[in-house]
Amino acid sequence: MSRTVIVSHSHPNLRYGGGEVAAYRQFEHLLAQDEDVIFVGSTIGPEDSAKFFGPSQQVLSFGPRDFCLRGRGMDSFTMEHAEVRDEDWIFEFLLALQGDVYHFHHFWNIGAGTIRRLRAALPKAKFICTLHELTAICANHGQMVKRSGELCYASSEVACAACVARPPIDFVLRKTRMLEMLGLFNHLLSPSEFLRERFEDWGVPKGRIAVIENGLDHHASFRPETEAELLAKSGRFAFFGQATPTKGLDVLIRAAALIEARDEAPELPLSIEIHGVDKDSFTRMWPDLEIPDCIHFRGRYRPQDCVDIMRGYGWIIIPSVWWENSPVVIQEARAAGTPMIASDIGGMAEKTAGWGLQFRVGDPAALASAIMSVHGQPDALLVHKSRITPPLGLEEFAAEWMEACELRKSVKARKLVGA
Amino acid sequence: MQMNLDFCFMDDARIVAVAGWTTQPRPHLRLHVDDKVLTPIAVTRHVRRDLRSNEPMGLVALFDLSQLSGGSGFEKASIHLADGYDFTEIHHPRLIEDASHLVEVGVDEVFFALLRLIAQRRLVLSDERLGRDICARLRVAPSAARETEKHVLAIDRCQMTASGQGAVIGWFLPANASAEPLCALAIEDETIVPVDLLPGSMARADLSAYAPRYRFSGHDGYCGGWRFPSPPSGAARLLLMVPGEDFLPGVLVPIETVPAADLAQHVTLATLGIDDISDRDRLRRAMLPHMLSMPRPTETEDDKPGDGETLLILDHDLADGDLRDVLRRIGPHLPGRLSLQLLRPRLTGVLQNAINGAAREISAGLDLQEVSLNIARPEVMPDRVVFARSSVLFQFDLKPIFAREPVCARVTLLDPIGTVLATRTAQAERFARDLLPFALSMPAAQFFAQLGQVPECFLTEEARLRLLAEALVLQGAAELSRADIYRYFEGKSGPHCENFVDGRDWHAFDAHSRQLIEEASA
Repeated sequence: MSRTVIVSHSHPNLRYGGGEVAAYRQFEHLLAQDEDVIFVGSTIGPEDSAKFFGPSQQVLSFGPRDFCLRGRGMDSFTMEHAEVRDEDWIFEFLLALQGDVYHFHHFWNIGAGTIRRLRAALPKAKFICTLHELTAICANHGQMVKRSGELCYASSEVACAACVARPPIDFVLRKTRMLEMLGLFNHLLSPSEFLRERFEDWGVPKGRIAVIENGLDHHASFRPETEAELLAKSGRFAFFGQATPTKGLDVLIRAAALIEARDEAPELPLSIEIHGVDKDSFTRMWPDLEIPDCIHFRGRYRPQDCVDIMRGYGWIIIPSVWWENSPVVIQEARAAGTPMIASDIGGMAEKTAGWGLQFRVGDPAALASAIMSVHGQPDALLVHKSRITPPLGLEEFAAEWMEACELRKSVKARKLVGA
Repeated sequence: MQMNLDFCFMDDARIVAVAGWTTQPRPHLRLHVDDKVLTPIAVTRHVRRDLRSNEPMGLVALFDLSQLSGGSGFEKASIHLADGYDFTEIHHPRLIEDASHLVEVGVDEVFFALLRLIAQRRLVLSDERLGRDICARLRVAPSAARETEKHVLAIDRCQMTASGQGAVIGWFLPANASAEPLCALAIEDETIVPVDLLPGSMARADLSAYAPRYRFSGHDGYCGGWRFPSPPSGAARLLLMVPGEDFLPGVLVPIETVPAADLAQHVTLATLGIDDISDRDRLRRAMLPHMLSMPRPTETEDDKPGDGETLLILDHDLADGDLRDVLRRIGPHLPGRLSLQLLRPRLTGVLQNAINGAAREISAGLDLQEVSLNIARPEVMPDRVVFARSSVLFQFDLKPIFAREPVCARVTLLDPIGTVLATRTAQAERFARDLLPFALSMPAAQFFAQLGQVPECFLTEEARLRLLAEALVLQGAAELSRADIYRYFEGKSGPHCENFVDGRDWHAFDAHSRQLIEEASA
């Protein structure tokens, strides 16, 4: 019997981030295929743990194969547990699962020490890691954006010391630890070429990282839109995301203000709708920004509704001011058949190439120009829509995953026995 | 009237002291040594209550015999003390024995006069028995008052380290001018050492309120330093001898034993307060030995192959949590068990956690033996000792550092500009001058035997170990290799990297100490 343990730094029942969602979709898909698969997520830190766990409770079960561990919080600089007894516990828990395959989505909350010890204890097991962002390279929240706000193109001990205000030797040590840990995996996966290149430039040997997009199940096709529908949608733009500084919502609001400040009012009304953020949280984040009339806050949405909501718009805007990797919102836009206007860097540039418009990152005027270049242009919308290819489905993802990780025979041949 | 000679003795520097009394205000004293005639280099006077007079009839005169040539025949020379036309023959045994007699039976006033001369370094008496006798007599002596009509004496800090380096900082205001300076002796159970005191050396404008009663100059702060020749075994006191105080030894103050870093911090601060910058090094120098002798190879037991245990003496200069990675990195290179002496003042939870974590990943085994800023000799001697900073161990190639063979001492150093010079002397000089990062690996018995020869006068053990490594290089007793790396970063964590008020860390403090010793012995 071959068992796959999917380990994530978080659990999508508690937090809905891209990495944990991709991990959980993989788990659900394998489970639906009757594979012997177990999901192990974690709470992010003590605050979450206190909300959901009893005082001495270590693990929550959401199902017979679906676990969430009590996360103690982990310093992402060291990527190690503060208390070795916590590492002991999670190591023993993962060891007890006796997986043949351990697929880690991230290593935060799991810990480099846990992975080293598990690797030593299970030398025959297959270890896989999907790199969801740049944390191993960048100690500034894994975003490769300097604290001064400028984009970072490569890490170095001295530059990182200047950015994060720690001694350069700390970065020598961190990089050594991270590279050592990544070296323990049989397979490293990246959802984007951009991320693969960054890791290779940093020190992971070329050829070690395979690129597989995250899987997303979606409708096979949609009813063709009428000209009237296309015209109406060509005036409707939307943002999906959170009010975090790196998502660039302030860039979009400034672009909208520039558009409204133009002398000529457009024939077709312009509407930009913000999903995932309400007005209050926006104002808290950017209290000095005036909100233009064309901006409408729609608040939170259910993830499973996202693709349907996106179909109601002509264009989805992703103005992030960090590199992004393989944002799920891009996959969702592809699933909805809705083209995007994206910052021209990193995973956004890569993933929207050919079917999206790109503007200079962090530049509201460039974004305003990009919006106005397609506003009220149903033909342009139609052309861009026709270039969209659907995202990788979960079935296709699983197939690519098994091939990249040489799992075709070991996993598929053995089916679940009991729970 | 002729001088009444009570005692006459010679000190270690061939200074002859004659002590007695005379009614003459200016006696015409000479010392005749065969046909040579010496005049006193110093004469001090003091009141003697046994003479029932308030006049300073007591006298100590010093004659410098070191100037005389033919010292080897001195024992046979005829010596006479002359006062005017009167001559008193001095027999040689007195020169050796009278110092003890003075301490034993001399009246208090002459005893105190002797102490002042020792404190002022005019007399050097290093005889251990004499030191014990002086300490014994002082043990029951009463202390003078800190504040009288004649003076006010304040002691802000009076501290020493466990190794016997000490400093005193305070201020002194006399009511009247005096030719005699404030002076001091540090006293422990069986030893006295003079304090190099710098009276009137520090600006103390805050004392102006005392001006109506005492002589306020604005520079009434003093500081002073000393070093006991060996670590004191018990409590120690400082005797501050106030000018004009003939009937009491002086103000006795208990000396507080403090961590070396605390004393260094206070001394650094005091040094910055010394007005005359040419005096600033004096305070530090007084706390240091006069010279550094290089450790020499000693006879040790044969270096038989043992179980391969390595004692790692580690200056962990990285973040506490990173200790785990440093130890883990060593793991694959260990020939046997690893014992750890951590050069930190205390074990924190994070350090303990890091050691526990490393222990789970080092198959050869790991024991924490000691956490202290000072190296401890283990009860059971391991095979080898390795010393390094964590930053060195993380960036150097560990294989040769922890290898079992060759058995000899090995010094691995970083030479960033690739110019390790051809001669051993040049190598050693650069090694010391540039504080090059290094790792020292050597058989444990040799290590402890030779380290014991290096004085404990530095703040860091690294300074002693650098001296040991340097000696090994100079003597050709170590295999010297250059770390083959071009990029190196020093650690900046841990106590040794903490800065004093002058911006220097502990290593720089020690480098300055060493420079002062070498300048003094040059």
